[in-house]
Amino acid sequence: MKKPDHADVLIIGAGASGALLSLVLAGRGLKVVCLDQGGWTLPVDHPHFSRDFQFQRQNRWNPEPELRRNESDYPVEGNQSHALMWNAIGGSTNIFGALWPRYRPSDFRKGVEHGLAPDWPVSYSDIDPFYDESDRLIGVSGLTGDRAMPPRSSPYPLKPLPMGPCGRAIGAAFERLGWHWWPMPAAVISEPYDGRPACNGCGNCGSGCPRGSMAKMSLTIWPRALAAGTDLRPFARVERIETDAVGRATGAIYIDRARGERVFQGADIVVLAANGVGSPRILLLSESARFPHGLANGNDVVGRYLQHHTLVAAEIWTEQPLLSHMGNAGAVLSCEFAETDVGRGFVNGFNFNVARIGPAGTEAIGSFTNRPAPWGAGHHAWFRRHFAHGFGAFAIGEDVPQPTSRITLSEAERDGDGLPAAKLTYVPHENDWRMMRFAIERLKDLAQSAGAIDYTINDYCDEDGTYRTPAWHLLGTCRMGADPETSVTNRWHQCWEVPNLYVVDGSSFVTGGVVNPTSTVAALALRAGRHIADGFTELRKATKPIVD
Amino acid sequence: MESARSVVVMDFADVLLPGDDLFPSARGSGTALLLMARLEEGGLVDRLEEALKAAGGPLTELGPEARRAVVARLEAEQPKLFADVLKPVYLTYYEQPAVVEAIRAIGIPYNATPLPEGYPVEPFDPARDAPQHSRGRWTRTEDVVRVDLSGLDYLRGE
Repeated sequence: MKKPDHADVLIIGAGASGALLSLVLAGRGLKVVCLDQGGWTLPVDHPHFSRDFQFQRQNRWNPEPELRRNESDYPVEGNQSHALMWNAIGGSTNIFGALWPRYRPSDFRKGVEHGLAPDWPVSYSDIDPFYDESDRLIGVSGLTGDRAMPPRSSPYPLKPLPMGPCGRAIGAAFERLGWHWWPMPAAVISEPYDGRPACNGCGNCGSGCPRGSMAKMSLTIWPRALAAGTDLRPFARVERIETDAVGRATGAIYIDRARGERVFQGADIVVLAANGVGSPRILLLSESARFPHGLANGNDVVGRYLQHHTLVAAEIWTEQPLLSHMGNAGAVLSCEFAETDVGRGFVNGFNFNVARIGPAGTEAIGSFTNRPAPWGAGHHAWFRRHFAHGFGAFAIGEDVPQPTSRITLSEAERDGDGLPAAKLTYVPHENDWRMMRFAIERLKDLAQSAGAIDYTINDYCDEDGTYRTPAWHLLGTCRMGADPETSVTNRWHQCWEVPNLYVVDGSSFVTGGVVNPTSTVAALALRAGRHIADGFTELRKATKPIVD
Repeated sequence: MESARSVVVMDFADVLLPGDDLFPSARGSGTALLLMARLEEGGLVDRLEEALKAAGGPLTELGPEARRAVVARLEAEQPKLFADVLKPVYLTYYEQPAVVEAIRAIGIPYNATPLPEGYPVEPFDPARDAPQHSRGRWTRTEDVVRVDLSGLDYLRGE
């Protein structure tokens, strides 16, 4: 087996977290190797320049690997929620919406609040400085002064994205209800920034951004991480993490998919950054005599407590044209229902993410609610009335982490290199169902307030009542915690059982909050990177985790 | 000259998208070749032909009302197949130059491809676009307290 030079730090996964970790660690002079099972998704690969861009979104640009089946993907078995991801340099930032809201202080304290989930071992104030740092690094547009959030330490680096007639109509609908609303913070640049051009409102955010106006990590952070000296290896699919006689990680065996050979990359510290499905999958694949249930899994927590957020949606159309195919997808955020109010009949809360609807074909096939336009003689009249006249509203809520919702290894399916696929099991808690039913009624309120001529609702349940959410957010499966019995890592992402192994990605989350998670993934990555760099001399020799 | 298989597909597509005074029909939009390729790739042409026969087709010999009735029956009897075919029919139609022109003709700016042009959008204007309300609240870490769960029956035992 090939054995390249030993690294100081080996990072597995080149998505948002892996990119930022590489930037921090290589920037501090450490020898960093980063592996990713995928290659580069180049600007010319995106479908934005082709007439068939909407058709491609259903096929080769589909965010669901089970439907896309790229060579770099691995199967995710399961007949419940659909795991969405992009396996390439930059990870899912190649196709994500780049909505960039932050967690709130209470999101970290659900143990105190109701006890259906533990508290995080960190608080908002621990993360806050790193939110600001990542905003500056990545380029975030937004409006400072939102009273639904703690005051920012520094203003948004960039002014808000254009509201347009769509954003203004949405704001007015919330205003009539007396509900909170605010322009959506987004990792999409409203002005030229860091050598990248401002968003030009093309409206095809669903297939990422080849211009680099959205925070596609391969165009934003990776160039700097490479310049800092990171050794980034694409098409490197990790087979397992190896350990020595005392249980420390020694490195990882990966399959060099370009050359068809197996390679062992040794390192003093190994960091998993493969997100909520990939990271537990690799830990479970790394079973050994010493770790018979998978690496760092003596307490059987790895893979459990999978969270996606609760999600229900509406498409709402108005009489007046909104030009909702133009501009960045994210328009307005509402935190009206973010905090727990047991008077609603459940704990936890939800936000509204309100978005523009895309181009004509996407509108016709039922963009967000999968209710296609009518066929026959009425189709064209429907199209005239609906196209560019609507918006999508998503109620995104905090789901209760459950040990039964989990990632395991598939016994039936394998990836292209013969490794067991992931298997996903996810069933909402009764609290989640109650929240979603409540949120659907509020979506109807919003439609009424907007003066809707028509609306459709999506509860993401199939004809059998199975909740089949599009799961962009893959959280909680290697959660951090204060108790080694109930968590995989400590507050610094350091595995309790393997002190030189870290897990830094969405799987580290204890609870999901009510917002898109990537801003928090980025902040946690910067925090973890600094911690590892500051303590590298001691951490590289650590034989037990930090307890504080 | 359409092949027999293409006639089956385009007769069906024309029932879905018959056109009007501005928008072309599916056949008139020029979708045939591309749509056939997409449906063939998905293995849908044979299944569609069979399903149309089972629902009272083929459509070729039928008048407009009877064609609509056959398609409605197919939709009711085989909803999954219908949805699988409808999606590429709609998507292929809306990428045709003639349809893009029709969209522009109704007065909506519309690009055939998202880039390189994009759309001119007015920059954020704080005076016009910023919220004027003072709503919004959040709870400080130290102020988070236990909520009363006694009214939530479904949580008993958790």
